[in-house]
Amino acid sequence: MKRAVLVGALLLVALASPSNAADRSVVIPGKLFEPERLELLVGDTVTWANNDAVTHTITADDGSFDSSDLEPGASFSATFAKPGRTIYHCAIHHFMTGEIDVFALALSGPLDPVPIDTWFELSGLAPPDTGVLTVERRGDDGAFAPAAEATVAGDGHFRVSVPALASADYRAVADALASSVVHVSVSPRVTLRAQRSGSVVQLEGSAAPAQPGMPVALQVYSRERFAWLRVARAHFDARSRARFRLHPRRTLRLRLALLRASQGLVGGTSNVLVVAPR
Amino acid sequence: MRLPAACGFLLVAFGVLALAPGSAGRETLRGRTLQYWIAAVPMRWNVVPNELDGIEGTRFQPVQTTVDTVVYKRFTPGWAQRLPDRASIVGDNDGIPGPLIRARVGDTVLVHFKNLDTLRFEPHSMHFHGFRYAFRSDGSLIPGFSGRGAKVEPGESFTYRLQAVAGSAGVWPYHDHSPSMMDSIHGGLYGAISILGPRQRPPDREFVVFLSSQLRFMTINGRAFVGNTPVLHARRGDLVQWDVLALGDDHHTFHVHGHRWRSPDGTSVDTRTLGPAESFSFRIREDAPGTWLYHCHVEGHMSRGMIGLYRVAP
Repeated sequence: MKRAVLVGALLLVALASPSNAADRSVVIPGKLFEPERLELLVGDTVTWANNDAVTHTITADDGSFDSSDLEPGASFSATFAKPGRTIYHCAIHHFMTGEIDVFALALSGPLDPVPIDTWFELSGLAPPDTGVLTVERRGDDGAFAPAAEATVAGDGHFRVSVPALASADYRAVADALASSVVHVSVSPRVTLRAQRSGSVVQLEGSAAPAQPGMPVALQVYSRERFAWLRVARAHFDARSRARFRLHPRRTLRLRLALLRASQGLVGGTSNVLVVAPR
Repeated sequence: MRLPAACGFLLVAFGVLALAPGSAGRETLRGRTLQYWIAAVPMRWNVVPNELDGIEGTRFQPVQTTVDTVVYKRFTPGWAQRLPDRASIVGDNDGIPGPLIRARVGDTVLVHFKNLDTLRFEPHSMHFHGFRYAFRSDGSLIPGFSGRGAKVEPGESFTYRLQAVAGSAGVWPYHDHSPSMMDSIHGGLYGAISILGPRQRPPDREFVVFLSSQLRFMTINGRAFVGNTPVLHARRGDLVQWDVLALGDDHHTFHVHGHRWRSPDGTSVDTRTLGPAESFSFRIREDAPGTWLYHCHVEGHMSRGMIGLYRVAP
């Protein structure tokens, strides 16, 4: 009887994640856990495989599991029955840490600010038999109200597109389950335009909705640094405009970064302009 | 017996200081006396400042890439002021690696070390490869044998006296060898020594390339991934010296694209293996303009950040 239940439970896990079973495993390719952070649903089992050439351990900081010494080539599994966050580490190499986040219902959104009046995607994990779930947005009154519906696929994944109207909190709700709250930041639409007169390039930046007085930075893309570097700073004037003059000596990729914003919005970046020398 | 000897040494050190207040030192019959003022200081260090693996496209968050650590920094005499990081030398005084210690065979080098670890309040030391020195300047702890220089407590200082002798020419690491070395070396408490032969000309460009690891990343000079690791610049015709060093638990195979160099036995090389505390240098008369990669050819290390750009202008 006990064995039948166990087999049944394993079968359920297998059915619950037929196509993304790999996502439930953590590899130790060297002195790190890959992925470092893993999101799971309640009941999922995680397997850690030590592919490094030296011994490691998988030890929960709160003592809830411990592999003890895991030789090269060996693996270790743990099943997570309750929602919550568990941080773990290698007891031999203390700087190796990982995180397991267990949800009854998981929701995640974009990390970067989304420009206003565009669409962004929320995605997550739900029990595969959920069918359709509701994504809710927190209103000005602090109460959550339905914003979209999503259909949960057979592997438990779901995704839904939502319009970016203002920075807001979102959560997913299905039957008695609710996900943790995800905050999505929305930025104004920032625009950078160029006008050339001889060798001089006049740049004008603006934002909508208007952001008078807000700090902005003109940024140039550094190919060798793989990063946007600041070349000038300014503040938007009363009409939410900022102007720059350039004598480009080489071809530059430029954009304007709005560093702060008002009206419940956050900073964001403009379109990219390519400016060549005359 | 030990105390008078130490006092005598301090008098000598102050005598030299009085004669040569800068760090440039003075000429003697046997060579110059160079002085370095170095302290172990806390520093917030971002291993991936642009938060991007630019080749694979993986993005990171600052919380994943930033660490509070202790590094070696070079100061003006008396540890009065931190010296800036000179852009003309790659790996000069950025933090990781620590300040480049330069000397020529025949020189005496006095390294005045102060432990300003206000992050963990742990003892630290400096242990130097390559130089000749008396046991008191070894900087590594053997309980019952070693002196103060092996375990410099927070707020304390110690002067190591080093000789660049005939066998010292080349590139060598230095690092913490106190009881806290297991954590501190991983955190970046190490640096490079570059010693010229008696009549060897200095190169036009010198690149310190220190291979190690930090957090989950494999690092060059404490940074990971192209754009964060040093972007090395040279021009056609430059005499370029690469100083390649490693510390940590891993072996590396250092490789530069588009270039070969001569090993001491005369064979042509474009990849060389080195393990913890090993080091080598080589010189190239630059003749290959372009934007090249340099990296560890252990693929797992390269994909975790041990890769950089070398740009040669025509």
